[in-house]
Amino acid sequence: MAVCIAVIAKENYPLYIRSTPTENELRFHYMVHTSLDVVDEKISAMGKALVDQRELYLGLLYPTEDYKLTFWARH
Amino acid sequence: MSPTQWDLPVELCCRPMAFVTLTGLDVVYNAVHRAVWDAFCANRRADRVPISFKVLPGDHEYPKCRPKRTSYEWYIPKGILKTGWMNKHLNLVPALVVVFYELDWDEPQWKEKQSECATRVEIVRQSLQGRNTKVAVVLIQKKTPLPPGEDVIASERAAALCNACELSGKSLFVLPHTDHLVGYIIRLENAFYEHAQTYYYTEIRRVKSHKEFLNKTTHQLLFVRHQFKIAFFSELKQDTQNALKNYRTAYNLVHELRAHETNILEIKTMAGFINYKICRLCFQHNTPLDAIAQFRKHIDLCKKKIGSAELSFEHAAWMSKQFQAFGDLFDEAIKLGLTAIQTQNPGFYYQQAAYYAQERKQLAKSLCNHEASVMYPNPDPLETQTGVLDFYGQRSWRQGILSFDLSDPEKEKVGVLAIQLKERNVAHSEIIITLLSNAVAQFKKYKCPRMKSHLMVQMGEEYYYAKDYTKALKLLDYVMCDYRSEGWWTLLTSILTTALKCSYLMAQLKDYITYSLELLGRASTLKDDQKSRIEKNLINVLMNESPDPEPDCDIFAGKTAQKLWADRISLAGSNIFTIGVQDFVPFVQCKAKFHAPSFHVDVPVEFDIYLKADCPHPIRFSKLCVSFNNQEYNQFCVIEEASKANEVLENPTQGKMCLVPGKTRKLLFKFVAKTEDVGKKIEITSVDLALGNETGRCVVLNWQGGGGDAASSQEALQAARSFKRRPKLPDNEVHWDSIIIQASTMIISRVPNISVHLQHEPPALTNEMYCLVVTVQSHEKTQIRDVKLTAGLKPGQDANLTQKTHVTLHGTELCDESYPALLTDIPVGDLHPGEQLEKMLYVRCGTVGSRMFLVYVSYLINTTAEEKEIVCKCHKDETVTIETVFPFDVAVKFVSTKFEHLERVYADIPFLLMTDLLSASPWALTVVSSELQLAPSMTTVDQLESQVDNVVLQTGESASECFCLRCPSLGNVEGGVATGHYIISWKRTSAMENIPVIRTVITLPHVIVENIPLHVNADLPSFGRVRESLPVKYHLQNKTDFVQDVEISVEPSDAFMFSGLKQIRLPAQAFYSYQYFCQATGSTHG
Repeated sequence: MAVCIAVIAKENYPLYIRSTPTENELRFHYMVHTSLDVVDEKISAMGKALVDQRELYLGLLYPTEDYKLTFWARH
Repeated sequence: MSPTQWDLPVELCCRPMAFVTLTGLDVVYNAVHRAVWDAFCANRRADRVPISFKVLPGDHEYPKCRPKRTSYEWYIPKGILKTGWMNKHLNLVPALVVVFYELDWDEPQWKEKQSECATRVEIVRQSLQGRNTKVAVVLIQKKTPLPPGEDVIASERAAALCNACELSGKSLFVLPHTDHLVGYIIRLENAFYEHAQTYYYTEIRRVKSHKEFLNKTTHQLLFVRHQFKIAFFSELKQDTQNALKNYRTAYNLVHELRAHETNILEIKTMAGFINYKICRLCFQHNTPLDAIAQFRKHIDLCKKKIGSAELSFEHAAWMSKQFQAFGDLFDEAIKLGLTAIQTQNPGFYYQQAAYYAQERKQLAKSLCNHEASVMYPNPDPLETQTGVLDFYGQRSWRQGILSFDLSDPEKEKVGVLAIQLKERNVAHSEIIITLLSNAVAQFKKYKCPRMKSHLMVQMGEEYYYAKDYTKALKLLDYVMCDYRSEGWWTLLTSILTTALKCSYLMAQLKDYITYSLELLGRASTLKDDQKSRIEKNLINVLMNESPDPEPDCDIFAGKTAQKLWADRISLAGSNIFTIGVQDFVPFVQCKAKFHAPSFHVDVPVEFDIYLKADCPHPIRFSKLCVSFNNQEYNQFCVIEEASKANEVLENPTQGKMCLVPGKTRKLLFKFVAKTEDVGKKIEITSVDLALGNETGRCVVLNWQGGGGDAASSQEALQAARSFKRRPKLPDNEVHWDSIIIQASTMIISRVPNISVHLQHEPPALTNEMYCLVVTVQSHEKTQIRDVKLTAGLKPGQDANLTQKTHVTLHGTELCDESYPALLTDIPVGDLHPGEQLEKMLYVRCGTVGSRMFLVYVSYLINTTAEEKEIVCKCHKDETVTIETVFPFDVAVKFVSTKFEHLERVYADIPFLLMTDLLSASPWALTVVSSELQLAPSMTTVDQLESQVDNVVLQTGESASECFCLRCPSLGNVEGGVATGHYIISWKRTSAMENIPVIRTVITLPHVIVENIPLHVNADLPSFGRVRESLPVKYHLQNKTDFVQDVEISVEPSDAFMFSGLKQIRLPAQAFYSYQYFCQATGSTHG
């Protein structure tokens, strides 16, 4: 079940973040923010290839926690 | 229980190496023995066999071997692994004991020595009774041995010695103490290594042999123990593949054990040990993914095995240690060459270790909050007789008890209490910070700036909990800008809240004010009640009072803070705090906007300062000052509202400087620019807004330039992208987003009120003194002074034009190259209203083509702006493009005296030079005179007088002249002979008398001069009469140096009768002329 959904602008600021109210909201904010390190790196590494590829899936970012982070990059 | 209880034991973490003891070496007093020992110890690089050596006395007592068990039937194990076992096999029970003995083969007292050696071996064997440890003998000899087989005595005695010592031949070695000691030692240790491997192989077999006696009901623990031992012995044997295999089996077996609250710690401890070994070996085998997979499996299996709820902090501590140990292993592997990546690096494990350490702290806080009166139990239930536990992971007060029922609940309670009280003394924050800082170092390395910032926030928060507010603030302040620059306001607010607490607890005024300003601002996600509280505190601080304590602060620290704040009040230090807003997002926004991008100097400069407050309540500011690049204007742009300190929040809606939250306040400023600033940019360098006043405390918010703070650029971007329609506002209000900062304006000169006219007759003719009449008329209402004229070629055109254009005010003299292309600042006096003046300007253009001319008139005028008298300098310019053309074309040709066209002329024979001057000027030209200047090689036949004096040529008309010339023989001149120059003096017919005449010099073409051998000249009468004789005279002239034979034949026309010689042959002398006459009579047809 999805516990948090975030939409991030290309300048990396959050456009929308909502998480299940029972959870610690701040923790999700931090989690989404830190995951941008990987997103940045992936996008810069993909470079031009990304233009052709319509979406980018990032797998498990936190190998030891109870959550999985999935990311789609859009144009 | 020590604070390092959770650390993995050293013997587990080291790399196991075969243990070999050396006896019979006196390394202190015997130099030879010392050298032997040094050779064993020194330079143990990777290429040497992995042995751990130890020198022991010959009679050393090795740990006693327990009698072999014949049956396991009644045996019930008391635990999984004894705490001493690993150390025993690493450092106490050798695989091989080597007895060193000094004995040469030719020893005279051989028998006695052999016997002593045998005794020594026997003593060692006695001590190792029951063990499979090998014994070897090394004879230290002074002489180099002979090659094998040559020394018969040696062979005999070696066999005898082996016999006496009950050794196999393979266990007897000779070490000659000669030059090549290290070489011998390396051969020796390789032999030892083989023995050691055999020993460990036997040990593995021995342990394996127990298996068949075990049953699954009572011996579960032994299955794990034996498997662990087999794996450990395999490691000692350096068989890491089998070691890994056996550890994996052991790991599975440990999880098969029946777990209960009473033994869960033991199971986890052993699982942790075995997991560590597996991961370590996987990294060693360069299979990091296997290591990671094992670790994940381990964590998944164990993370729910919490055990006793009262001691759940122990589980968190254990979990933390698991992650830390794995992080260390991972890091170590990287140092040995493994490549890690951004998403899989040791940082994640340290981070998780820190997370569990935080959890441990939380749990400890809630579980160990005993009253101060609760005493640590006596006797200490955590003490054991030996000081250590018998088995890993057991409770000291019930060691070896396997029952799941607690036989003595009271004892259990005391034990738990002791552990809880001990946990209270653990420096949790220190552990957490160390782990976080390890993680920070890793994430920095693997390009994770945000993760690094997040961990630094956690470090800061941990320092806050540990009451080290200085360090906390330093860290939080460091990372704040990262969150601010990326616009993560929720996270920024959270960090600011902690930072505000720190600054409150340390009573740091400036920090407290800065954080408050931002927490009240639009970047803060705090609820309104929180903002109100902060605003109130801020006002209190500005009124030189103490703020209310921040919520959730440590009580003791809060009390200290109150004292500090009280001290701050009594201190009479600097009470003005200037805070630059460009690096943060304060609760008031500012934008400056000039009304226009430029202002004339005679009209006041106007601009607005827009202010908007985002705090919950209206707030009154005390002063607003605007600073400019020219500081003289600063004085005109200050608003100050005298108010008492306590009025900051009172009468909120009155006064210019009172801001109502959410409403945009516009403040208009105007000032008259200085005339010196004409042409310059006036820039707002800063806007200062003061809150509070000097009697209390005062905060000055300083905006660089025309406003904007750390969030402005991002907001502008968002506003630009937004599709949201802005709600309609009343006419006198504006949308904040729609205000665009304009922080600079240009001061330009006053609009001139004069007219400048140019009168001339284009095009200009090359080299003439072209006349431009400049008429300036004043339309100003007052007298204008200091009128100056700048005129000439407009700067910025082709540089060659400057060389070929000359300007003067005096048309009567012809200007040469010393005259400038542009006349600057020619004073022409003053002009009364309506008055006009005329100025003649003469331009001489040396080349054809178009040129731009500039006429620039400047003047001074007294005027008023905002009731202030100012002297303005005005100017007006006119530009005109003038084409320059040739006034005429001159064509020159050579013809014979019979007007026949000549390609070349003949030496000494007269010819005609004809000039043709064709006017190309649209205006009439007067050719004043012409002149032919002959080259020295040319001579004239008749007078060279001008034939075109004072001829007026209209457009397209031409004037021709003809000159008879002769060229003496000059020999053959390459390229012809120079003719000379044709000079035309001319002017425009319309030009005034005093305008000088222009002399245009035309260089005449060269002509080819040819020598001819014979020149014939016919002398004919101009007319003849019918039937009368017509004398015709022919002159023949020999032009050569030689006598020439000339044959003359006359062929008369049919119209004439002919008399005289028709054909004659005669010699013609050189340079002589002959005359030949003939007469012809005939009729001509009319």
